[in-house]
Amino acid sequence: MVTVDVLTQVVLGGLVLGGIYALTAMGLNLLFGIMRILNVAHGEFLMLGAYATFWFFKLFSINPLSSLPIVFGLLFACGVIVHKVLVSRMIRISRTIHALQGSSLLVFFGVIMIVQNLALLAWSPDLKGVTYLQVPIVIFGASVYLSRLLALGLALAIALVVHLFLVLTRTGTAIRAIIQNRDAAMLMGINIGRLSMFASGLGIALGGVSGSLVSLVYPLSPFMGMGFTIKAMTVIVLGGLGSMTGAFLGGLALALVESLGSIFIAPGLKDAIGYVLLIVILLVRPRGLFGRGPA
Amino acid sequence: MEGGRPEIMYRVSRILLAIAVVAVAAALPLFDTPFITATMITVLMSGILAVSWNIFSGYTGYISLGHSVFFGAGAYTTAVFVTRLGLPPVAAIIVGGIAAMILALVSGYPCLRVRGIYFAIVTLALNETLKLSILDWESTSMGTIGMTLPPIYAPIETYYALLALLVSVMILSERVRNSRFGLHLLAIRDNEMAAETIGINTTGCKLKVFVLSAFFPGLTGGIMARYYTYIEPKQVFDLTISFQMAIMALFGGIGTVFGPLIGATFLGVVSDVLWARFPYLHLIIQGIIMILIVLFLPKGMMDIVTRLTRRGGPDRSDTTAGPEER
Repeated sequence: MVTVDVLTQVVLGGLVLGGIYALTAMGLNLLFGIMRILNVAHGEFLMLGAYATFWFFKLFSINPLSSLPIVFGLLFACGVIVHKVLVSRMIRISRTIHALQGSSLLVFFGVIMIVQNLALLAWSPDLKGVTYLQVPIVIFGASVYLSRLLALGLALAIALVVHLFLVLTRTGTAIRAIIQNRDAAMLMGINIGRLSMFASGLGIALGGVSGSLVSLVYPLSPFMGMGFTIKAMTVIVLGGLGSMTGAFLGGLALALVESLGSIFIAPGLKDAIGYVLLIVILLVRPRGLFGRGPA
Repeated sequence: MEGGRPEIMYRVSRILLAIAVVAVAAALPLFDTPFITATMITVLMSGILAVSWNIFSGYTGYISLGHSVFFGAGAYTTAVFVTRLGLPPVAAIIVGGIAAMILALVSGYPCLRVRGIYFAIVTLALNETLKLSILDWESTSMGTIGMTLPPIYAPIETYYALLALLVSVMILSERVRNSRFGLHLLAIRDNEMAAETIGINTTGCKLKVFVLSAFFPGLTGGIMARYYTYIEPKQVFDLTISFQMAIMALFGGIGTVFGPLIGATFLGVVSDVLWARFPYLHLIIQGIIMILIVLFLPKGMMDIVTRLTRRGGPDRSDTTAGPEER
């Protein structure tokens, strides 16, 4: 009934989407891990990255592969600006962690409204697409665009680079230390302020880069962000808050479950299956698959 | 307590003010255009939802991002009971409210086992699961999406029903806040482990208030279902409703009694005015206003009210301790 080529198609599709989920979630996780605030506007930066890739391709004929570092840089700057202008102020004025989380929810929601509607005004609600390397490749009988495979490959590569950065470099290790235990990190002499700014830049840049990958695979719209934000939030909870490995594996897992569920259970319930998976996992492991710290 | 005017004067003047506001609101439909009535219906609905959300999330500190599920459950239950089972609308609406409470009871027990962001996402997942399941069921077994209720146009009825609900939920919010139960909830918010240590049944309290906070959104869902006469999953289980509840309560002052109502009214009116004046930019302006107010008034708009009415004592505007200072 389910043949190899259909299965391959579905699994590959799941992996491609999973790579994107994973990267987006890793970025969001970085932001949450460092500052304990949930950036509900994360998807909007993904959208900006996607549109940046589109415009570099359309106006300057720079292919999405080459524009990746530029997009990274631009969104890194965005992250730093957001940190300096909004986040550091919020941290200063909040007396309790509850207050900080409440304020950050509101502020980032405001950011969503502003960014989404500026994008709408500037680029119109018409769907746009990046047609690059849309050459079909045949694997196990299934026909897949090269652009999708490229997106998958890039996602895995970037995730690997981020992982190596966090594990092998001093800055990366310092960031991991802050995520693990902020107070202990301060006692060790780690400059929380500067590194928080850096981590914000990195997290948002990852979001933007995910957007570049999305542009290779899906059409763009100013409203595309929210869906990815919700998926990313689902993934980091599934994988465990603060765990980058969890975010990565969780992203792949969620997408695979969704894709397989769509052919084995029902196409309409694709997303619902993902949410049920989340609820079940949280019942069994209230901190997510790899989470540590307070539930 | 402190020196100055006696407590009783403030109590009485507050109650009189509340009665005056309600009276004005009650008289509104008689004088104004259908447009204002319709706008006010939206504001009243948001108010009820924000205040209900606050009763749970504001007092316990568990931010719920899926509360719209109770609104949707109430709406759908009412629709089913009116169309399939022929129940009169008022009874169906009450059944809707009860259905929302049952949903809260059933889902609350597993959901409340997690906290913080985990809890926020799990409630969101609950909303999405129900929404997508109903949508899928409708498209596969029924062929049509959404339910249609008997066509009636009754904005005045709806307005008064919502006004009555709003007054009720405000009274509930005040009674909970200034009760022993309310203190237990605030204790849970401030330090759940410590609360458990001193013998508060945290699971019981959380579940109780979760169920309580689902009733009014359920009723409201039922009323709005009848008002709209057509409902579909994407509309009544819309996450935007969830977010709006949270935003209005946070904006006005989470954890306070009047905060969420002030937030809902302010945001509702401002968004309408901006939409009329700046059709293309209104959302951007709203976003900017929101960010500015949050950065400069972190405790929400309620902060202004508390500061104006402070009786010259020490700054007790922190809502973490004791019965609310008026």
